[in-house]
Amino acid sequence: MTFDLIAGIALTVLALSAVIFLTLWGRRIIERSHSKSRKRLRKTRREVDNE
Amino acid sequence: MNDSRGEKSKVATTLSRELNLLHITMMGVGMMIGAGVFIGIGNAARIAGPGGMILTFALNGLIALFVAMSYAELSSAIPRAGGAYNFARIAFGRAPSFLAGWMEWFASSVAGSLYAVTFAIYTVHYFSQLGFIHIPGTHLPALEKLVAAAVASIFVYVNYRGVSQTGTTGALLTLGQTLILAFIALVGIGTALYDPERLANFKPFLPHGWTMLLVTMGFTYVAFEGFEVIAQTGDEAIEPRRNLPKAMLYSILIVVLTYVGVSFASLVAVKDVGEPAWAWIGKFGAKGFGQAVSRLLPWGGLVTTIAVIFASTSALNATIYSATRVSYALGRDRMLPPIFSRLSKRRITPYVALLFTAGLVISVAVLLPTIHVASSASIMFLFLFFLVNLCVIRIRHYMGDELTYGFMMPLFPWLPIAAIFVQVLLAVWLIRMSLVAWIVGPIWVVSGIAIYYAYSRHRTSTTREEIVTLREEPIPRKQGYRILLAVSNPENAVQLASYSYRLGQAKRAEVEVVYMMPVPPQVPLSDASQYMLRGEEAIVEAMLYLSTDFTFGSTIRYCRSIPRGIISTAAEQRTDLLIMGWGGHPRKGFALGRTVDPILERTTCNVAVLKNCHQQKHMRVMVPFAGGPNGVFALEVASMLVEREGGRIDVFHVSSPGRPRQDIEACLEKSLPPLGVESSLFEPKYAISSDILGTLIEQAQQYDLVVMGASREGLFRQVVMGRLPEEFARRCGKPLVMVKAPSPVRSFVRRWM
Repeated sequence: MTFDLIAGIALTVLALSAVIFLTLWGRRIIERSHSKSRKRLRKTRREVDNE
Repeated sequence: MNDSRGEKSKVATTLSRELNLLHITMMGVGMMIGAGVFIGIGNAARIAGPGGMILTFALNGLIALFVAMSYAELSSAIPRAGGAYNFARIAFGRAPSFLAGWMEWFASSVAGSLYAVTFAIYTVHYFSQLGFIHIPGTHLPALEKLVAAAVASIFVYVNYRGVSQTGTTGALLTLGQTLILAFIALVGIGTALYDPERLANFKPFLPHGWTMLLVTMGFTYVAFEGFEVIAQTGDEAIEPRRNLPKAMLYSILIVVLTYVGVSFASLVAVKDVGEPAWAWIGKFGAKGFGQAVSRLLPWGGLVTTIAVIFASTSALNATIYSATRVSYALGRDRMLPPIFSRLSKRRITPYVALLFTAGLVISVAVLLPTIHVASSASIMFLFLFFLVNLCVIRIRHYMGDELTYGFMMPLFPWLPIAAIFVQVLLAVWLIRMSLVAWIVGPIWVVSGIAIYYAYSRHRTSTTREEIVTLREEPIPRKQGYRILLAVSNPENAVQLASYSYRLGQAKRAEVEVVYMMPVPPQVPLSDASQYMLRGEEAIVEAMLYLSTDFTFGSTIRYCRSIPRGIISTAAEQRTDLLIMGWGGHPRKGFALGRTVDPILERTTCNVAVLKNCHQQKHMRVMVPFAGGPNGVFALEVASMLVEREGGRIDVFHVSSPGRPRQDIEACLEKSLPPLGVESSLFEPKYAISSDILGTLIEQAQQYDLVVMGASREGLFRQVVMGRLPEEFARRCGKPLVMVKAPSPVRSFVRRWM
């Protein structure tokens, strides 16, 4: 019974932490990918302007 | 997205991107908090016990996040309406694509049935408790089914009318219901801190063992469907590659925390009931959540019923149009008989697809008991998400190099593999909860396969591209002054254009003419160009004429709502001045009209609204002036309209008797030099009268144009131009130009009010 309680609470905390962690990680990946593509776009524009 | 037909005719067609990150996040949240949590808490407590109930929502949330990451990756690479149907077509071809659409249609429809049933259970229970319903308890289920069928029918009709709660209204409603649930969760946490003895309700943590957890997880999985609706907004979302994946992740996070919070609150709410709290909640089944909350809050029954009414009806509306859209797409692509893609001539909604969806929603709601409805929806979503997880692995493996991803999930391919494994496990264990779901679900899938091989395989249209990705329009770089002319009918388009032309010449501005074409939510925006221009030939002709005669750019934009479409176009094109017409007939409940009002309230650029402007030349122009924030802008616009014709402008000030009059000369001296306008154009005129409005209307008769600025009013008043300008606009029969300069802070506050 005590094992169930401890394991259950640990699993709940773990699951919620994983949800929060993965969401923040995902957000970071999206922002990085977006800033990279913006940099790429600026660079291409500069090259086109120079030509 | 410019289509080729648009290029040929010089009138471009584009889609209006109106939904921002908040809108689409709340769409997902709204679909998820529809019923699953209300129905699920009581049943989960009964089957898995107190700990099982909390764990069910926490672990399901984690699995849903894995699936949401697959959706997020695919939507960021292929941001086009279609969702699983589109992904499966790209990954595996037509047969799995048909199956995905077929399953999604059923899953969304049955989820709709569940929302209707939840609405019925909670409202009937609440009103019978209040004593408004006097029928024996044995007849209550029949009444619930009747109410469920009635509410589903109402929303079928709402969908036929093409109405939806998207955008800010929908987002605010969802935010409201989420806040109610968050409040319940916080009260629960506060109660536990105040009375820690209630935490004993968690013992025994899992009275029926760990395996029952799998049963409740499978049963309540439907509470986490909803993020896939975000994938459907690929055509309508602003910056879809960035916002779609973000919205999916955020919506899951919000929902998981809310569900775990309300589950905890439900348990700690119960005390001194003579039996374990979980058993007490569980014995009420679907009504367990409401019973628990009524012990937590003084008006708990009412609060829960309100939350259920808002949550279930908005989710019901959304699932009906989502299911209709899928069956419409199957008909459009000839995977189902083409009659499914037939649109109503009057409402432009796919009424045949809607009729079949309605049949499915109502028959499942009426024929199956609640537990089997929830289980059937869950099992179909498990099948569907299983397929999407396979799609993400295959697409990254075979086409990863060809696609531009806005988001690539971490820990690939382990997350989709883990999701697949758990989904299979949950689907198998669901048989212990509902054998009916395990009969209905596979029958639907097998019948889909049979229909495909017997009918669809030979008829599927081959003209559409197999892979269609949506090109995002780059944000134009700001170059000089931009004028946006929004036209709504061919009669006044030319008059408006000549005014825009004069203003454009004075400012050396680029002028863009835009016509907004509303599309009901059941039809994807990207399909709109195939159907929507029927009956609109006159406006296209007018735009063609304008684009050749005035060297304007002309665009037809497909949108969900005209005001929102115009506002987003103005923001997207970084417009300096928006020009539009007003018929002069105010609608009840609006200051000027239902299109003009929201634009004047929310747009962040200068706006000029023209009424009765049919003349080509204006030699005598009146500008009522009271020194308000838009007075100088009105002077500038008036000067641009008369400068070339050599007309004159009378700046007219009416003051009340005994009150100091405005010194117009001083105002002109101060404000004209920065505008570069000749002061000789203007002549100040004064009058004293206790009836300012009457005097202005009387004086206006002597002029051939009035240019009037908006007055400043209290932030919380329901006026858009100011009381006096609005009344003047309604009563003045002379040609009138109303102008309003932007006020970003006021626009922001009013937008959120």
